[in-house]
Amino acid sequence: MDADERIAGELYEVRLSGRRWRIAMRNSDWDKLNAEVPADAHFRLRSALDHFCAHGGDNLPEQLFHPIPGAQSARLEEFVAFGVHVIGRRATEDPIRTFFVTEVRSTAAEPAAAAPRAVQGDLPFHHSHSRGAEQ
Amino acid sequence: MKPEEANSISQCDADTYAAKAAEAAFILLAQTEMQKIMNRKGLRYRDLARRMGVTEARVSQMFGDTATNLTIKTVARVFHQLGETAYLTTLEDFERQLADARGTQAEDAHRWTVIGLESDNFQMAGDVALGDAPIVADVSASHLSFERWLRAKATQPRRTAAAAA
Repeated sequence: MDADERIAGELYEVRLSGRRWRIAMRNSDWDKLNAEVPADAHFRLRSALDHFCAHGGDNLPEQLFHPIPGAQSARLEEFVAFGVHVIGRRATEDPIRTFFVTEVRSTAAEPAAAAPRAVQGDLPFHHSHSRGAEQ
Repeated sequence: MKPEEANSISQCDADTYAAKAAEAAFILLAQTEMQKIMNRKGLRYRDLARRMGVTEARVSQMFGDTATNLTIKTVARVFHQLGETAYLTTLEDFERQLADARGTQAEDAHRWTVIGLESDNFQMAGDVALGDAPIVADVSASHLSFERWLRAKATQPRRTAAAAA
C-alpha cells in the first residue's frame, strides 16, 4: 500500500506477541496480510512472524528475514515470502520490544525492487536491533 | 476444499487454514533448527553444500519459501552432516519430557537435602544449587541438546557427591 493511500490517523496496534517480541501493525497492513496476499505467502509470513515473536530473528533463514540494504530509513528489515514483503523496524520500549511494520507490499505489483520509501518519520523509540545478540 | 487447492485465504475453511498453517510452521521449524546449528557452528550455506556434495543453490533452496527439496531424508542428512541427530516428537511428548525432567530434579534436590543433614562432615560444593531454582529451558532447542542438558543436570550433583565423599 502506498503511503498516500493510507487512512489518515491510522494507529499501530499490537497484532502478534510472544516471549521475545511483539509485532505492531496498522489496520490496513494487517488486513492486507490476512486477506489480500496469496495463501502461500500468508502462511509462510505468519509462521515467520510467530517464530520471530517467540524466538527472535537470529535463526530465521536469511532469505526470509533480513535487513534492507541501502534503505533510506536506518535499520529497516523485511520478511519476504513469495514476493510479499513485510517491512518494518525494531524498536524498544523496555521491557517489551516491538517490531513496527511500516509497509506490506508485493513485488509482483511493483517489479522494480527499489529500496522502500519510509512511510513515516522515525518512531519515538530508540533502535535496539543487533543481529546475533538475542541469544 | 483440499489444502493444496486454496490459493487465497478467503478460499480456506477453518480446517484447511489450520492444516496449511501447520505445514508452514513445521517447514519453518525444520529450517530454523538447521539454521540454528549452522549459526552455532559458524557455518554458511557453501560449507553445508560442500559437506553434502551439492550446489550452494540447492542448499539455498532448502531454506527457501517452497523448500520443495526439503524431504525428511534431506533433513536427516543435513543434521548428520552438521554433526547432530534429528529427533522428531510431538509437542505433547516433548512437554511431558520437560515436566518429567523437572520432577526428577526436584526429587534429586530433596535427596540431597536429606544427605546434607545426615552428614556433619558433608561439605556442599558451592556450585550446586538446591531447592526450587527455576529450570529454564528453551522449548525450541533441539532434542539432542535437550537430552544433553538432561544428562548434564542428572550427572552434575552425583559427580560432586563422589568428590565430596
